Amino acid sequence: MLNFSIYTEIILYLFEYIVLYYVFSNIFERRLKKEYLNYVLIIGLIAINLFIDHSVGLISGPAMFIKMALVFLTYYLIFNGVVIRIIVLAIVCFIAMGVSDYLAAIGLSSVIGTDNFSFIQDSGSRLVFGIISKLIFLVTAHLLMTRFRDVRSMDPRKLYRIILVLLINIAFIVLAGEIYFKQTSALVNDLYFAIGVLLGIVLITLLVVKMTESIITYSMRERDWQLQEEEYRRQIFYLNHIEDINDQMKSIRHDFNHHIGCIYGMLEQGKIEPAKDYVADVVENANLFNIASSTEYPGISGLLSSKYNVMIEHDIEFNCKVDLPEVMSIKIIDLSIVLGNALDNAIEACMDLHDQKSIDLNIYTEMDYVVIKIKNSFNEQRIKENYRTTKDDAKNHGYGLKNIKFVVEKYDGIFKINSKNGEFLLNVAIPYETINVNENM
Amino acid sequence: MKQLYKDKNDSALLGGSYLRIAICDDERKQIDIIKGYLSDAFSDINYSVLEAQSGEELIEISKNEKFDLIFLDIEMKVLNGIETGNVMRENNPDAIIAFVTGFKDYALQAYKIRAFDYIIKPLTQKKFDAFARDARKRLVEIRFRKEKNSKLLVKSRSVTAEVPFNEIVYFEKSGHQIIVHMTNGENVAYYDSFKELKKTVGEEMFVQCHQGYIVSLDQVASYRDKVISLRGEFYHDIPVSKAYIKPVKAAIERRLFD
Repeated sequence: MLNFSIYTEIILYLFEYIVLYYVFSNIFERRLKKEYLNYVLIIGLIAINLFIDHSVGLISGPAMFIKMALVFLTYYLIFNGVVIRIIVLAIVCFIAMGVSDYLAAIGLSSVIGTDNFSFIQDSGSRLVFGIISKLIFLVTAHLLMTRFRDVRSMDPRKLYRIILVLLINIAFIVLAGEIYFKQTSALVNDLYFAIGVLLGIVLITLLVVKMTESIITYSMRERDWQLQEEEYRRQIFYLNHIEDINDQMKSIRHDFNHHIGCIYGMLEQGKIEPAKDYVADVVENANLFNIASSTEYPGISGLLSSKYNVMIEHDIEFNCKVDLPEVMSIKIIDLSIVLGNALDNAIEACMDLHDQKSIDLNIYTEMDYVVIKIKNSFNEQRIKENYRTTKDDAKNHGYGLKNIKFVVEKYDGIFKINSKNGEFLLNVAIPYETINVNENM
Repeated sequence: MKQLYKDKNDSALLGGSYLRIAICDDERKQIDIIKGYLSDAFSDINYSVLEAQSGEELIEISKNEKFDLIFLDIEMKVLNGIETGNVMRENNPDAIIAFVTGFKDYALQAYKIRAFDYIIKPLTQKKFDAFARDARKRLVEIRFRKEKNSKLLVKSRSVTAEVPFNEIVYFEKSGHQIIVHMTNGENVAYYDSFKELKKTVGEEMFVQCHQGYIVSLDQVASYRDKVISLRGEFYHDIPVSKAYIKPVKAAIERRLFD
């Protein structure tokens, strides 16, 4: 039995110090570049602790003091930080572990049905109890740390996964404990039980993590496919549109004589204002051609010019400057999703206004990013909090921003929205390499 | 409405200075139109205009002059606007070059030259106003950057050197030394602390991303997954540690979007 209790001690110490290590590494920077050295230090710490336990005894004032000092020293060696802060954090952690020990003890004793904590004397249950208590501590610490860092950056999927792993493990432990304590025969001894439980925990955790991971990647991929499929349909429309414009371009020579004739006639008669208006009209028309030939990518040019058509219909001024790299690793279909949704949103926001309707689109390259900036005027009173849409089709509009965000995140890019002084700003940056993935487009 | 783009701050910052502007277009009319728009947009600033009717002429007469703002027609005979721009850029590293063009296609090649803009013909008041607003903002920025001390004095037992900021890729801390990694792949080491260094180089151009690294934003290619990738052939990745993720992201966003 002595042998087994040593294993229990080792595992518990290991668990405790690794949990501590996790908390520390979230707050401090590691001093040692080689990671294995950290583990060597921790194992050394455990060895010394065991030695002290066995030569002096568990509960002895000076021994406790020495053990604490050793912990401080070890973590000071591993992490780079002010000594006082490391000591304070270690003490806080130990107190929190004590609290979670107590909670776990209460929980377990109520499950087993005893009111005293005597069951902790038994090595097997001590192990189970120790692991549960450290898990409680680990999860609380993890939640607190991620909460404090940035509530909004916390991925809910991660949270769900942790909760799922925890729930299934707790259920498993409770079930195993139930069966173990109910059976009275000495067929299964403590050692086998503890090893079984440990293996079970490891196996279940791995399984759940793997499963949730593949569910997440699969659902992401499915959403990606779905988005792209929809966008391909729109691309067909855009490409047809660009063909129409090409036809219009062919007849422009004919128009040229006509326009010059009109302008000349008006000027001849001294009608300067009407002539100016007329030219402004022609310029606007020319703008469509400029937009239609603004990129090397027909899909994008078609998208821009067909959106510009909608804007003309609604009297929205469109300032458009586009510089896309000639070769890039960003798929046109993805760019089309971003631009299409963003411009639709901008147009919709402008339609609430009576005058001063304008949309500025700027696309350029900076660093290794393609930057897309869209600025549009909007009716401040009508935009509710959280950029929820004001229209009845709230679902559609909200989806717009979501889809943009989805694509940007797929590329590990930057997505920012902002609004001030009656202007709504959407800033997107997508990293690119000069590799062509658009040959088939 | 017309005066809207005259930002008060711009005016105060640019007001005391003297702008040198060049306009190059083979059509006399176009030069006059630009001059007309300029006198509105820059009415609060002292400036002089040099006119040229071909790229060759501009290069010839501006050999000993430096400009803040250069307007170039793209469709010109002999030397086109892009070629002229490339030559002008060598003598005027800080100038804003604005191409005036009838077609967008040409402008595509243009972005290989730094700090440029283009205006698509026909040049209307509205387009020029939008350009002027941007140009004023950028002129202030360029002024501001120039005024600051833009060289780092490196002093150690073996070397004393002045390293221009724009030749620095990143600083690395090594014990009590700082190693300056430069764009040509070489490096120099000297004794100083990051705290002092940050005071000298400022926060505009350099950002600390790790206890041991300060990186020049000019040299950053991208930031992904706690790693900064650098431009150029000599250096590759710099780690970003947790404490510095926020400031690094903020600095990169400022560069990208402002």
